[in-house]
Amino acid sequence: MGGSSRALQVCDVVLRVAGVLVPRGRRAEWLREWRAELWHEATRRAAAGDAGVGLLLHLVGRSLGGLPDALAMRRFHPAPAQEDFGCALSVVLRSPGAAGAGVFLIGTAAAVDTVLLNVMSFAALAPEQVRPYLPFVRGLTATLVVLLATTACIAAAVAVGWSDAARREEALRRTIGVSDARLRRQRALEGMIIALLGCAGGAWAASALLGRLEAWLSARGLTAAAAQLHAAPGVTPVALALAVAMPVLLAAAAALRRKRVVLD
Amino acid sequence: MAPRVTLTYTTALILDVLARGHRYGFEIMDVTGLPSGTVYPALRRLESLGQVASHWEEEAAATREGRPARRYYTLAGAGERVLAEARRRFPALGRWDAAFGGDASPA
Repeated sequence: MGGSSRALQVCDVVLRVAGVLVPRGRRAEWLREWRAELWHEATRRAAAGDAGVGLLLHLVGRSLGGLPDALAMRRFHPAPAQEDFGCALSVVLRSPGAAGAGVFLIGTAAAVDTVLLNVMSFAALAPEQVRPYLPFVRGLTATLVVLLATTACIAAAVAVGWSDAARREEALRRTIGVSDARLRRQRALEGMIIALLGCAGGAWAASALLGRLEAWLSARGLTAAAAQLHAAPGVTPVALALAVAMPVLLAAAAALRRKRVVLD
Repeated sequence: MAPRVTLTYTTALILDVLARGHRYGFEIMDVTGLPSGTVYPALRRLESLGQVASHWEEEAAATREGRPARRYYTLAGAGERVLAEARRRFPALGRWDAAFGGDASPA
């Protein structure tokens, strides 16, 4: 029975992976059914002298049917909306940092995708006709926006995870007695990275905000003001101001979080 | 207006097997030769359409025999009507056991 129990363990891994697709309210029953069937199959085959790799392949082959079955469960027994909402809420409450990073990642991917498609349209289609309809009219601008948006998002994600860093420091200090000087050096290095990323994010945010402001002014007939805004070299100071403000805000948020650090 | 039901040969075969008294998923696979990735999704669909019903066998009975309880599937009222239509449409349906080399009698 040893061989069949190992095979059943492998099948269980397959079922657990596939089971993620099954609506939560039906998952336990679904797993119970599959495990019972596989147990009976393994026992029957083992009694008939089947063992080893043959039995493993047979059972795993059968358990792979769990994936289309799980999809069918989701299709024919859709989960109620509140279940999906509850699941999403529990993820956010359990791990806000990871949830925030996930949202930023999706947002960044969407932004990069939009920009890349625009650049491709600009390059592949007739530029003069397409240009007025593209949000980023110059290839260089598009590249910069992608770069800055990405770094801003990374910076935000790192900032969200700052509280974990504080917990880690406290744990290092208590468990293996890392010196305060070393922790300070490490913190300074992390701060520099955050600041750099924050600068990039600030520059991106500034250009985006100014672009919106310019469009808002133009829409209200304030074209002179809009043109002045566009032409003014004030973009750089505003960007720099935001770039400085962002790491300061991040540091303040981190300091606040650090006060809440509690180790059991 | 009743929803339009796609009656495939696979669906008809599974209904036919259930009508002959085979009751659980792996038994249907053994008898028909269909893979698990076909049989179970079909059972889910048929169950959602009310053509198949399912129930768990009595836990105490299974425990007495030292095995986990199984989930049994049976033909529901709507399934019997669909099967009658399927048997008219697929005359070879009655010869499935010979075609797949399966055992016609339930376990």
